[in-house]
Amino acid sequence: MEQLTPEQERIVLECRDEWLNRGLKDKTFDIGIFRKGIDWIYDKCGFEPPEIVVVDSPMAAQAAANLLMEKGDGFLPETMQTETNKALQDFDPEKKVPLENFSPYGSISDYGWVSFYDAMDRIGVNLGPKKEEFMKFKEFLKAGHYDFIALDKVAIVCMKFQNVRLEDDRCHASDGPAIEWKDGYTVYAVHGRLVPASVFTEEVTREKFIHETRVEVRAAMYARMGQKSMMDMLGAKVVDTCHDNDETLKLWKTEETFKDLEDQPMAWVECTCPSTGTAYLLGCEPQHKTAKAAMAASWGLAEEEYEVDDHT
Amino acid sequence: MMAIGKDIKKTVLDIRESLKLHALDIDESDFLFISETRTINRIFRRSPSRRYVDVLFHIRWTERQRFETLPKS
Repeated sequence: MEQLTPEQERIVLECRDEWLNRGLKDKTFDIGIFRKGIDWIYDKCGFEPPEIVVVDSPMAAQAAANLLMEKGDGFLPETMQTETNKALQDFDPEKKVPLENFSPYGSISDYGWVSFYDAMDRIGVNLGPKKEEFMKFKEFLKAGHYDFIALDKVAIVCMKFQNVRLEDDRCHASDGPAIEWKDGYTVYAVHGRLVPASVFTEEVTREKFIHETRVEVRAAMYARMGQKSMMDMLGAKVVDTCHDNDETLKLWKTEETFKDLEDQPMAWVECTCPSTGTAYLLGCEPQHKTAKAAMAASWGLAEEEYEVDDHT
Repeated sequence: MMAIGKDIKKTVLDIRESLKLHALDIDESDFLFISETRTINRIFRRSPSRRYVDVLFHIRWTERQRFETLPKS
């Protein structure tokens, strides 16, 4: 094989789209396929076929795992799903709980490599002596679940999210949850980085922003508010802009000065991560007069030593 | 009741590694395979939309960070 033929290219893309559709759009779950696959995996690992408990979200899976671990062997298979459903209503994710690891294999995060070998198989590549086992694993993923926790007697299977919002293939939403599950469990993320829900559910104030030390949280606050609102809130203005290598740096300073800062203004240098598109406001010393000097100082460099794309 | 994730990892990894060896043997010179991940990117990122299948990996990876922030007993 020297290169892919047009027909093979078509097959590869068709395969990719099938898996993307399965992961992002198809919400169906086939418990029959899951049962067949999980029994096969457990058997390969030397365990008996497990009971199956179905839950709606990863957090619910943790709650179910807690309940079942607590009960040990005292659970009754016939009431397990009902008992789990009841326990989920009182589960507090913020209280200290032992967290069970999700299975390292058998979730949607396997779609990447499985789709690759699926495509290779479809264009005629020999997958070797374990091809049949690969096919069984591939069929297992087609059950349509999101993830599962593997206990020796029970598999806790979690359904796919109801909604996911992406930008450049990363979880991203600047006005609400990036991922939502049927039971109300949500995950907030900006440009693929997890941020606390409070960034979106509580008011962003000048005090909160100024005292927030985590750059990704400040970036999320910035994304939520937008530049104008944020700078209005801070009472800041651009005092210098630098364009270089398709990137822009801006130096912002408050008009107000602060006694705590020896009567200096607050200052930030704004930069945009070229790979994620996230705009960051990095705190800097107020004596800098140019955006480039402020950014250079954050790397311990002098202005003339710094190239704008160094931070990439 | 005990977790058996490590047993599952060993079992599936064994299958996955076997596939990699066979696919690499055949296609190394054709596709300049350097790593499995890079190959996936190379093949699946060709479309103008740049949506390759590992987007699902990123979703789970992002979501899973949520558990890192929870208090553990």
